[in-house]
Amino acid sequence: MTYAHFIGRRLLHVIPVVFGVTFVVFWLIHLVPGDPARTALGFHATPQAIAHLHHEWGLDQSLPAQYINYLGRLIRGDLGTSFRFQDSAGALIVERLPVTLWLIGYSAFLISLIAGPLALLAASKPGAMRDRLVRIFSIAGLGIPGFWLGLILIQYIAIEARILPAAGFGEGFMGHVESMFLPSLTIAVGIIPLVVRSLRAEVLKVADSEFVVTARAKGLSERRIRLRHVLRNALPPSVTILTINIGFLVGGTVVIERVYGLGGVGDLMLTAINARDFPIVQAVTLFFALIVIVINFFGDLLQALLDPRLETQ
Amino acid sequence: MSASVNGNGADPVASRSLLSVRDLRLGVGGEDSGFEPVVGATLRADRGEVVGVVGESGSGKSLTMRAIAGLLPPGVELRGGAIDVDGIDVATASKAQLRKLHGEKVGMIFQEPMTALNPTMRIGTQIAEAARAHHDVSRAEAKRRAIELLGRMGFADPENRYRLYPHELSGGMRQRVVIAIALAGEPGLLLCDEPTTALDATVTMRVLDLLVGLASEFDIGVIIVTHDLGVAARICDRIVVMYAGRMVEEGPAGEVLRRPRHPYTLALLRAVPTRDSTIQDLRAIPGSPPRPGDDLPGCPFAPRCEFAEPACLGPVEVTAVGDGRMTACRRHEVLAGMVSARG
Repeated sequence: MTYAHFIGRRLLHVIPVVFGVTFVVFWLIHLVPGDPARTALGFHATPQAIAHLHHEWGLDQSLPAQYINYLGRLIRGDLGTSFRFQDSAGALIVERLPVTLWLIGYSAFLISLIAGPLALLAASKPGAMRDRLVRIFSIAGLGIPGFWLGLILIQYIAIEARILPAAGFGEGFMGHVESMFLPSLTIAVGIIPLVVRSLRAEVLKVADSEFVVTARAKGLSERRIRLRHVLRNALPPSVTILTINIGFLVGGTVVIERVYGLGGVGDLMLTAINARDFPIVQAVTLFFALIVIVINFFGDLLQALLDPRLETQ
Repeated sequence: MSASVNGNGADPVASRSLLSVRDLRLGVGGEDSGFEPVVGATLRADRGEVVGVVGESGSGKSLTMRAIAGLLPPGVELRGGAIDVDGIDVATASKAQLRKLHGEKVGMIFQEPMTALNPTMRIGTQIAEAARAHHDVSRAEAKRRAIELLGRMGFADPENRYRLYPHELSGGMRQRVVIAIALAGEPGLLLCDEPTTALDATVTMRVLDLLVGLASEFDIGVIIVTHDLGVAARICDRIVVMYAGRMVEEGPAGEVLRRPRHPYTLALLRAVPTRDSTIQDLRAIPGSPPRPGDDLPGCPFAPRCEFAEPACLGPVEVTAVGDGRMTACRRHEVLAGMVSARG
């Protein structure tokens, strides 16, 4: 099988997943108590006004009919119209997209940048002081709640030390790099320990392989053995861990965007849930699901590049 | 029976000597608590010579090879004796000397070609990087050498095979890639640790013939560890028999296999099926090899030996018995008389 086949087959997998996501989200959100018309019009609204709004938003139809309407619009590329903003859900998401994509990309970058060397450091001498230190920091990183770490970083790094901005998206590329550092770091801290742990274990396992003895028997430098032979073969499982956790991370952005006042897609989601703004909640959930799918897709592509055996399976 | 077989390399010229291992002792664990899987291995090899190291699993053959190559697994330490590989004292070698030892002095071939190759690297690159580790050559030159080596190993269309990954090759082809890697640094000595155990019978013969061909073509010493006496008989000039971490017999291959001077060698020969033997002719060796850590004051084989006498539990000495042969059996004359009477 060629690489193109591999990609094509992976793309076909996306369709049922997207369909499943729309189904689950639609039915779940209608299980949540709360009426968007009541929320929009207030507690004293007349039953006529509420009924009028229900009709206008299509909420007077049966749920299966609503679901079919929703799918029909989706196929035409229409994500729905916000009850609250009277704007198309697609436009609202696209407007806030850069913040969220920056957050995800920047976090993934920081995770790779920090977790790789830490794992190699810990694995270079298992049981030694450096290994134990890495482990202690990992446990601490796992235990710290993201929103709390965010508040602490804002307080000490941004407000007191004035090293980095406390909130906002910043202006221009360098502005984004500066402003998004703390939010991205906050997210990264929660995921780095998972990647470090898996990569450390995998590096130790691969270092015991016979082909590493072969590499040593060739007279290669220790550096080349570690990077080209050990690390290269230890990476695939950690790539999986990373891609799965970036999926969770997408959910994590909702809280972090609020803490840092970023106004991204996650922030839009929180507002929409409070307002029972069904079309937005559905659209954002679908969007998040797509991001997770895309990230996993790239993860799989990366796996296939790292491990030539996967391509042929 | 003919008078004497003119064994190859029976009278080696000193300057052709490549490897000398004397009274090698390897230990696992602490000096007090641990045990010694190798106690007194003695071995030598010359240029152009194929030496077989024979013995059961656990006799210390593989560890001895790893010690010679300076690649002892973690936890195993050199406790005594001397290893000299073409002028390098392995026990005291510096880091720079060890890198010279790895690949440039000694090429290593492993039992499992499946696991000996890096699964995520093209086979050609794995050969080329071994060449580049020792010779200051460009990438293109290293690639050219790797392709040439693949050709020598019997690969048709080596330019295209260069780009394959290990999982795309059969076991025999993989083992030939491992051999190419071992040769890429142009070593004087090739250590083969049961190189054909994982291969089919037909492939085995081709790989063995390849190794023997290399020994004479490049004038390098080849040591083949095997538990297969058939393999040893077919390709070796000299045979070293190991038991319980010790050398028990050594000599020209034809001599050792025809007229063993150690009961363990005889027992090994009796356990090999031949075309004419029936199941009754085959004899398993009674008892089992000593377990690692067992205290063995005398001859380690004595408890299983039909020739043993009380004195065999005393100190053992390796004695020369003519024709460049050595044995660790004090009753080798009794054994010789019996073997020639039957012969």
